[in-house]
Amino acid sequence: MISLPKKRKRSIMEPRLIAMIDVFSILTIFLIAGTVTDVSSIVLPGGLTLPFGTKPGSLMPATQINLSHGWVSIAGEKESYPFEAFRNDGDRSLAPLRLRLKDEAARRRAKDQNADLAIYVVADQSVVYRDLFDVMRGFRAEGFESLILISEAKGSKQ
Amino acid sequence: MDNDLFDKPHRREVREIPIAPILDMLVAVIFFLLLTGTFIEYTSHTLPPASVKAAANAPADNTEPRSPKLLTRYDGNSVILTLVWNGEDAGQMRAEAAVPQIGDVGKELIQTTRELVSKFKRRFPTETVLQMSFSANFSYQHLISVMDGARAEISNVALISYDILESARQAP
Repeated sequence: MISLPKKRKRSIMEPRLIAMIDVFSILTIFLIAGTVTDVSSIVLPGGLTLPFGTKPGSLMPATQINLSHGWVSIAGEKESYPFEAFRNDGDRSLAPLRLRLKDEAARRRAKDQNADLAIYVVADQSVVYRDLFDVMRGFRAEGFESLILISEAKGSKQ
Repeated sequence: MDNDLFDKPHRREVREIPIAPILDMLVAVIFFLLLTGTFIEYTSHTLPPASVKAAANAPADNTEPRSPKLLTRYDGNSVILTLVWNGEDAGQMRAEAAVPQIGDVGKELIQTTRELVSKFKRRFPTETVLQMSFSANFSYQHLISVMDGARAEISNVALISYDILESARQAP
């Protein structure tokens, strides 16, 4: 009688969960860092096309204003103000905005006396200089002196 | 009875950490983070407060400050860049570049601006602030291109009113 070799019991394959968890944990850390810090602190509103730039710069948390299609708005808020309102210094329609900016400035100063009151200017590439300058002058008048013009990186970095 | 006393103790079961729910949670978190995150790389131009600009412009002696200004405007299909400065050795330089197309980063405009400002910087290496003005109808995209070129040579730039360019053009 021929004795056949016994079949080896096939071991059950287990997925290497520990390695997967390591990879996922690192991914999570990077994604949280990207979301919480600079990169995604800019929220692009629909219909706005950023200009292209080549000068890299780091971003810090700041209030964002959007300039697009003749209107100015603070990111995350519903109210919009027309460009024309910024032409005249004493325009009454800007009163709620001025109040809002004063509150924001006071809030930031309360946190840090030497806080740099910076504002991100997120403007459509078709906005013209007159509108951009008038809006920037309006925000500077309310104490937000540091203005950071945002563009989208494109082309070779110089 | 005696036998019971000296029974082998039961082997303690090694409890494994339940990894599967942790993995589930991480997968869900990654999904949300990918949805909320953006993958655009941004660039920025920080415009300093007016007080910084004034301090940097103050001359050490009593001589009139040069206060260099880069005035930029359209002329047909060209962008005209004029760099003017005051002081004892007042003067100006001029350069011209084609108007970049929509959606173009404007490499020629960047390069032309950079060369013009570089020429000025070589002549006056102590100048650290450049004021920039554009015509009222100058597009934001082209403004960023000009700033990219200028800031490669003089990093501290300030934007000044479009009225200055208009009055400079009207001046004899």
